[in-house]
Amino acid sequence: MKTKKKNEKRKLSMRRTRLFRAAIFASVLLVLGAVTVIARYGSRKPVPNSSAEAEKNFVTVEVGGKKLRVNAATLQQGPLSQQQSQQIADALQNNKSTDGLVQVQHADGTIEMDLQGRFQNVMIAKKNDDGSVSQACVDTPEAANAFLQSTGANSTADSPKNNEGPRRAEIKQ
Amino acid sequence: MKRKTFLTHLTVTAFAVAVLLSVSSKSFASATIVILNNDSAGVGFNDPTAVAPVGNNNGTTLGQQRLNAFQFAANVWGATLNSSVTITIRASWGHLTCTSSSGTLGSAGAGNIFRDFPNAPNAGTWYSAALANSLAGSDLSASPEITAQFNVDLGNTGCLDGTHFYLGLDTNHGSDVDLVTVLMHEFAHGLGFQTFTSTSSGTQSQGFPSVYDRFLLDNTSGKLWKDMTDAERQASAINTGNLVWSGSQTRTDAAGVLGTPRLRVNAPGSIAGNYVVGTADFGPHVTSSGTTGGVIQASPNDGCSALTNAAAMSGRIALIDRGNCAFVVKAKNAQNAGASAVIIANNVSPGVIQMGGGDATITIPSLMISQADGTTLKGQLASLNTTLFLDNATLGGADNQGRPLMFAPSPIQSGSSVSHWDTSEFPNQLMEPNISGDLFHSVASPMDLTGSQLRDVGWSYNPIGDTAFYVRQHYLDFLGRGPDSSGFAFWTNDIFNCGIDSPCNEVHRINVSASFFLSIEFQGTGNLVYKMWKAGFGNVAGTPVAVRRANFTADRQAVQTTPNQVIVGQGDWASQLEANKQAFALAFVQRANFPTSTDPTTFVNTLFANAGVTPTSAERTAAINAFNNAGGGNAGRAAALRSVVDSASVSNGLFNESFVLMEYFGYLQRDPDAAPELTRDYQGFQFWLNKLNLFGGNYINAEMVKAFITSTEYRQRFGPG
Repeated sequence: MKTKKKNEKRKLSMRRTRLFRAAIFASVLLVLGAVTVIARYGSRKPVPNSSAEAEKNFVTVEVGGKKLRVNAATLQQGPLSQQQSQQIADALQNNKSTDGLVQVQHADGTIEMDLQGRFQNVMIAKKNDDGSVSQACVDTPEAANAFLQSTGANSTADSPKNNEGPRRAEIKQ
Repeated sequence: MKRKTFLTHLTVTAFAVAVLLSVSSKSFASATIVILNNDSAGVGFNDPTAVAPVGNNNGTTLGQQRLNAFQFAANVWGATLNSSVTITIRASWGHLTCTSSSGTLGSAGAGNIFRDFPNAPNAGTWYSAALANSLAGSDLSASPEITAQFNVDLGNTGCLDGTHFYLGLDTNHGSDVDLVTVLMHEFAHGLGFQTFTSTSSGTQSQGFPSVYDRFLLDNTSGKLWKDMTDAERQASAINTGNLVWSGSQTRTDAAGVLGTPRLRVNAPGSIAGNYVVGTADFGPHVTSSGTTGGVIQASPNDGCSALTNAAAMSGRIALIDRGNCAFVVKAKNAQNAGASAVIIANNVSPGVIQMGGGDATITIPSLMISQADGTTLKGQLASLNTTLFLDNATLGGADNQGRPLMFAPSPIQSGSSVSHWDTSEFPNQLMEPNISGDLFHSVASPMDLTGSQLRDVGWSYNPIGDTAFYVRQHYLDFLGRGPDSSGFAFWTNDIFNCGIDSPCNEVHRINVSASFFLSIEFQGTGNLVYKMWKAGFGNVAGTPVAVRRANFTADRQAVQTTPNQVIVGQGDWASQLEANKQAFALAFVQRANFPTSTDPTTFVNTLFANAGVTPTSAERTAAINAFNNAGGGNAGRAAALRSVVDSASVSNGLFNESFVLMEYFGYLQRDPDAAPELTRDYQGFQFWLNKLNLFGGNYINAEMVKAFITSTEYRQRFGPG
């Protein structure tokens, strides 16, 4: 009984420590954010286009023993690790395969096939470097990976329209 | 006895008219789409967290608001598709893959597919369950037709932190994800905007094509997907810019949906022509009919604070310099000053950009021009007149045959290939792979091509159930012009504000409809024309009405457009309309058989007698004075005619008969005695006139507008059902 209580106390203490660390991390981010926001309003630099340039914007922060890469300009965590994006893409692995699906013939000649949850269209989203959110509807792992691994500046939402200029909308002057 | 006879006549006539209108309203086709809540207690749709109403979503719990958003999106489709079989969407909320910076919003698709079912239009072809049921006229399976699952964690820490689903029904989503739009998109896939053929291998499901494949045309090979080998399909799926949708309905409608936004300078002639523009993510898109008017430079030039020249700006197009504040601030200040549209002049060279930002309260269109073009326009402000419009002659995102491009990127990019439109289409379409922030809750032309595409694959589809289509059609039918941006926003919002309240929706559709007859613009054009015909010529021989539709339509158009195109609320519309009325009246009194008396009293008495109205002595005197003050002759007769038709006695006396006649002219686009009127006479007209008179002109209690807009004859102008 005592041991159980001790364990609970230890757990509580660890939880408090984690919360404390998280609070410190949040404060650091807020300060970083305030500085960054001021800096962003002050400068008119274009958003980097290449992924190499975008990569430079990320800093690694250690929180609670975990290393997180945070976009210094937007405070967003990212980009997705290979493992994370693979997780999303894996869900679509057999999405367009009919392997194992069974055709059933009804008495009137109708043929029915239960798709067993396949051929789903999946709406995925990601935060861009400027904090905006891009969305894409995908149904294959290739398409999901292409979206998730692309940099914000090259996301689908920014693809050119009418060859008259970039789709990236500029809100501020 | 007299009363009994009248009631008997009324009953008989009602029966005759019922054949045309009442019965058809009962057969009003649409589809019932039911959301099957598949969540456990306390989760997803059953989340009891109390929330405040948001954007016409009046649910009091988080779960209820989610369900309302689902039902609203389902209703958009249900209003346009016809099916005697209920469509069930089994929906749930779950913990889907997500991180702070990316994740899965949700998914949807057909639950099962069918081929070779009763009434199948094509043998050996897969159809999604909802479409197959609709075509078969029976429920082919007990399973839900569509399944959907969405991410319950969105916006929480660790899942796109801070970016939530917007649960409002009004598109005012700001930087959040508009759930209704995402649902409309995903439901469309489940309804049939999808191939069941593999795009990566080209193989067909169990060796059979999807109905979708019958319309995918590769311009390089000239082959449809259904006729290709697996290898050919595999290559076609990444044949960028050469894969198109060949369905006839979509091709027809694309001509009115897709286009290129432009600024046209109408005057002065020295700088007239089309100018390249950048579009805005906020406010309405420019339309084919466009927004025309004189241009006023905003004061201050950057439009970043309330405009100080609002009096001059009212009804005109604001020219504002880029810089110093957000684009939405400039547009809103211009709108508040009464501007009908905004032109932003770039402050850097070269070119233009797409203007970002969001503000659902902006109801006027905005475009950007280059710095150089801005300088050119500023040099001609004194006589500058422009039109902001959508140039349908240059379709954005279609091949040279006007067929919309399908998404076929090489190598494969984000977006499920071929089951989406290409991203080059303009304006943004619901079924592009990415959901754009500027999408409207419409699936019909001239806003969107999704409904057209579903009609191609076999759906019985009628766009009149779509709110945007419905409102626009009223502009065309009653005002003879396309909608202006602010008016369109006003009337569509009036209906959208009902949310998922079906009785409210029905009442507001009726009221919006009636408002077009009652509008200042129609009263000053169409109704004026009717009164002039009545006062000038009396009834057409053998009929209880004063004008045939062909004559009426030409005359209404003349008052609306000659010498000025009048759009109430834009520019100096009141003066323009008055000038048009005067010009029309002067020409009207010179028509053959128009009363020719030169004696003012005789002339005025004839007009009142023709109208079947006994004027007050003041009205008679006013008309005679108008005759004399204008100096007699044609000018005097025109002035007297205006005075007579504008009198309260004539306006009130002819109001109901004009109202009923315009129901036939506007909704049914025919004379009351024309086919398909069963009796080919005025029994139907007389029935509605009697009924409207009986209810003292109350069109709601008389159920007149309702009967017309739900009639089969009206609905079948636009599609089946």
